[in-house]
Amino acid sequence: MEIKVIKNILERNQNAADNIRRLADENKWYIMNVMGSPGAGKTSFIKCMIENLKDTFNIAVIEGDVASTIDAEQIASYGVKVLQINTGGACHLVADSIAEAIDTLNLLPKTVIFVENIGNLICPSSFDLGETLRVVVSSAAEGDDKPYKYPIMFEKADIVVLSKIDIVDAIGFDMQRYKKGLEAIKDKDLKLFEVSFRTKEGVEGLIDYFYTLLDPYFKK
Amino acid sequence: MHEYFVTQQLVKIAEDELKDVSFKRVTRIKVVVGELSGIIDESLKFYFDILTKGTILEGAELKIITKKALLYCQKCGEYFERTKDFTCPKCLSLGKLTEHGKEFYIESIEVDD
Repeated sequence: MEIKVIKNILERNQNAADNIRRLADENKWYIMNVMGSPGAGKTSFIKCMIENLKDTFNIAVIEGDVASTIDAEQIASYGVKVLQINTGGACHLVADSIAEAIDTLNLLPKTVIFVENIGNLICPSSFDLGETLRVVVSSAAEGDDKPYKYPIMFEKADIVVLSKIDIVDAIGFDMQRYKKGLEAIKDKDLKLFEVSFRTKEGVEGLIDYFYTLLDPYFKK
Repeated sequence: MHEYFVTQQLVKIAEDELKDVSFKRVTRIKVVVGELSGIIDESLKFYFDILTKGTILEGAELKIITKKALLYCQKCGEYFERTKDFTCPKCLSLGKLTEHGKEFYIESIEVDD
């Protein structure tokens, strides 16, 4: 006997994510799921955002890593709420652990929550964390072929931050090829920011963009 | 690597589905996996054997049906299999990703009754 099922295997995670989204809506939390390869600049992105937004907004950070508290310690020095999740071996965060982290952090309403996901371009893309915005940090150092090799990660991104643009010429990064790949995946609505967190090139535009997102969100 | 987590979910769903069914043993579970779903067949099978030990699914065959990724050419209006740089093999315009290739679900469970 054959029993027809047709059931999404990620349903449980989806339910937990939907629940987080409902809570975020009630409490006016703005959750950013920050994804990208190891070393792409996810932590630099979050640190840069904290430096520039912390005088205006409440900020909290959930740090996901396979092991260690290296990133959480760096973030804590800014005086914002931070919680480290060590997954042990898992390659991505799941909505259940975000729900638990939010509960532990005891957050104020109207808080920007940065979630630094585990570094890789595959697994985190399949797991909704109830985020308000998906940010993919992709560095020039990784090469210009990443959108072609990991299309789902880029397809699900709301914004792409291309970091380390100060080395583009030195390594022969083909910007046109990179952008063509994104265009194939994202249509015309892609938001791409080209920045270097080291030289600060392009950073101002990125910060301005976040103000235009966050100001109306919290004033509503 | 995330196959451990998803295999746990898979086992749970199958157990739920079989709760009110009378059968002798589960012979096969058919799972549809798109090539862009990020799920590796071998890992899924590896964890399936481990995680089904001692459950009603022990010994069942995990049958994986692979779905190819298809891109859509907006110029020709045709679907084509993924090419190296996403260009349509017919007219060389840029193709778009579609839902084909992202599947990940249990299609059916077969039991001996």
